[in-house]
Amino acid sequence: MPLLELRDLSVRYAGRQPVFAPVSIALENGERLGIAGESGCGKTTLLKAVAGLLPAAATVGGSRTIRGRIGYIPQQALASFSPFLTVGEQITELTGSARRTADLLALVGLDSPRFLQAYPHQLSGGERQRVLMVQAFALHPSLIVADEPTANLDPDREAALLELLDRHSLETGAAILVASHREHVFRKLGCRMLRMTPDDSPAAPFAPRDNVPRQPLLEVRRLTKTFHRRDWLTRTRPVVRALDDVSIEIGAGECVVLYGPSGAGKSTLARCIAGRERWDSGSIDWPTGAGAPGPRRVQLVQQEPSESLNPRISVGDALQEACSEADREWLPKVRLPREWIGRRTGELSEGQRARIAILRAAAPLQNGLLILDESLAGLDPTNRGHILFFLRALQQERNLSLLLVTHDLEVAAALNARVVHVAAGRIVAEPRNA
Amino acid sequence: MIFFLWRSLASLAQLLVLSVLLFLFFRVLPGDIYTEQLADPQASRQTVEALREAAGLRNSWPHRYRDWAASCIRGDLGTSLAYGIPVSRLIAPRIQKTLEIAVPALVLAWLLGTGGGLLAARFRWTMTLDPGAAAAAMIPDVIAVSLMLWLAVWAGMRITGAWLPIVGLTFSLLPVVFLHVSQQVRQARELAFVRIAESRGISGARLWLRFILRAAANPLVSLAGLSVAATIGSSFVVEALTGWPGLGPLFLEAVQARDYPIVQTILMLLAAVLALSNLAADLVLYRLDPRIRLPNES
Repeated sequence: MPLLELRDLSVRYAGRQPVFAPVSIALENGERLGIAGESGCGKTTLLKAVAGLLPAAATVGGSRTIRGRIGYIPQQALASFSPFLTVGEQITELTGSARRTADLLALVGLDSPRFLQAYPHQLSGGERQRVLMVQAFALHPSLIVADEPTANLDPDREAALLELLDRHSLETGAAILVASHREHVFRKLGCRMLRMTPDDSPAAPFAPRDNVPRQPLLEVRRLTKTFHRRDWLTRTRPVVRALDDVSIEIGAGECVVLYGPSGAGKSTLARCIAGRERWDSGSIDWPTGAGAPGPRRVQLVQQEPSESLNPRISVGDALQEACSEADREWLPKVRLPREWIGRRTGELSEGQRARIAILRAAAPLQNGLLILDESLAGLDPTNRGHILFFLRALQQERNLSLLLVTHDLEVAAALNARVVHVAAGRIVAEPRNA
Repeated sequence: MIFFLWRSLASLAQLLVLSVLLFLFFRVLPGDIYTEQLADPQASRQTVEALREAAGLRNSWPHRYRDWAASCIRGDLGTSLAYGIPVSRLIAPRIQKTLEIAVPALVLAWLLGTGGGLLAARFRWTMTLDPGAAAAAMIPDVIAVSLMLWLAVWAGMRITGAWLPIVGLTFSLLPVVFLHVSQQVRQARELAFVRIAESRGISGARLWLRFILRAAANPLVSLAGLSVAATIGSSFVVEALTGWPGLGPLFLEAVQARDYPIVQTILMLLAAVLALSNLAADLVLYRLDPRIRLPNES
């Protein structure tokens, strides 16, 4: 008898088409299956159905038999943690011993005691992803169900993490069911592959516009920033020097990519420019006075862009929060069907929500700066392609500047961007694109 | 600590602004306690004007505000124009009486509301109970307490004593607490991290205490802060209807007689209760939620 058996499994929400065509799967101990497919094809829904995590409103058809325990690695990292318990507490909740918690954290490279005491909101996206994997391992699962387990990681970390997953499964005999839009994940894990069918929607190009000569839009001079840990009684001590004398210029209509390892200070710099973070010394100037400070000048899209949408309101309402002129004609710009204007954002897939979030952030900008903080990291090639197309069009149409924080140099190439290397809070090299 | 200081300063500023607004409000209202005496044929215009002068009512309002604020800081809340006794002596026993019914009502409403709301959310009765509670929350206190009085008389029960105002006041807050608790807990059960914890085998008291209740607590703490001032406000109505000698009847009398020192003191007292209970709620939230307490380091 197999470990996991799905027979004609289907999921539908009241009054809608089934999320995907019926799926039949059988997995034995130690077997591995990869679920491939583009954003919105139902990968996450299928995995949630296996893990028993579908909302009550979903109707499940067909049959599902599981023997043994499931270790589930969810896709939305931040929402999957309790904000009130430390990382250490949340893992020990499953392991039962602090010693084993520390061992498991060391396994994924989070061995500093800082991580035990940290709350989830204090970790980076990649760190959260690794803690999620630890939590799955802690249960001694016979089946590991992983939803985009490496989406927010840079290539080095991704390789390390997949190797860990591989080794853990070999040692414990756990089967793996993994969904990803990156097929090299499946190759690395030696998975069989099941492809789910993609959705297709029409594209509407932007009217192109001539390039305007470049003036400086933004000048950052000698920025420094140190993070402190604050206790209940005023005691503060410096913890991380995030920015160390950073200067950078961004021209109007220019695209700049901040590239560097985790924790280099890329996000901090982006957040300072966006006005979300205060800096210790240095200055940030907007010499051309591109509009008054505020939403028309700079917009930041965060790492998990879909988290910025209220899942209960419609796509149209979400867009109109940012710009009152938003209407259904906008949706084709990010290659979504016009009729979706009335759908609730919670009904869309991660990738589709990311497209809406980026469209919304760009909406109020006239000729300012759009900052994407690792916002493309969790997206499949199709979604990323749609968004890159949209960004290029925006740059052309409105002379918008872009600042991207990423560890994917393909994105930089696709946008013909200037790449700025950042390490340990400093700019280490700034090669010009030929 | 810095948070505490800033938050306290903000509360103080709120109260200051409010006191000025209150003062302006009474300035805008036509007439004062002596207006009616003008209609009395035995009182001459000169006498009334002299009385006004003596009470300091003819000075400009910034002047009066300054006098009032200065005497408040010294601990003198002014003298009732109708009774001629210091306001503080007049209201002190009334405050005690109001607290005698407001404190038990607050405790009862929160105990019953939290218990009921938790049970409703635990056993998924909310679909049947919530509409009833919502309807109960909508009934104005005046009607609910009148109905209760009528029922008590009809059943031949004693309508004197503290029990009737306490029950009336409890029922004015209870449905609101019940609704909030049951809905917050129901929503908390559907949160991603709660569902995931459950799927990982965390159950029973651990799941409820460490995950569900922690997630539901934040808005309830804010509500608890607000409910203190709301209960004292409701108690005015309940006291007036049941004849309980608290602040309520005194307030009504003072308003009708335009005895502004009393009205002003009672309103400021209410505002202070509201500001203080909100301050307390915010401090509890600060302790409870690491997202407020600890900055983002990544």
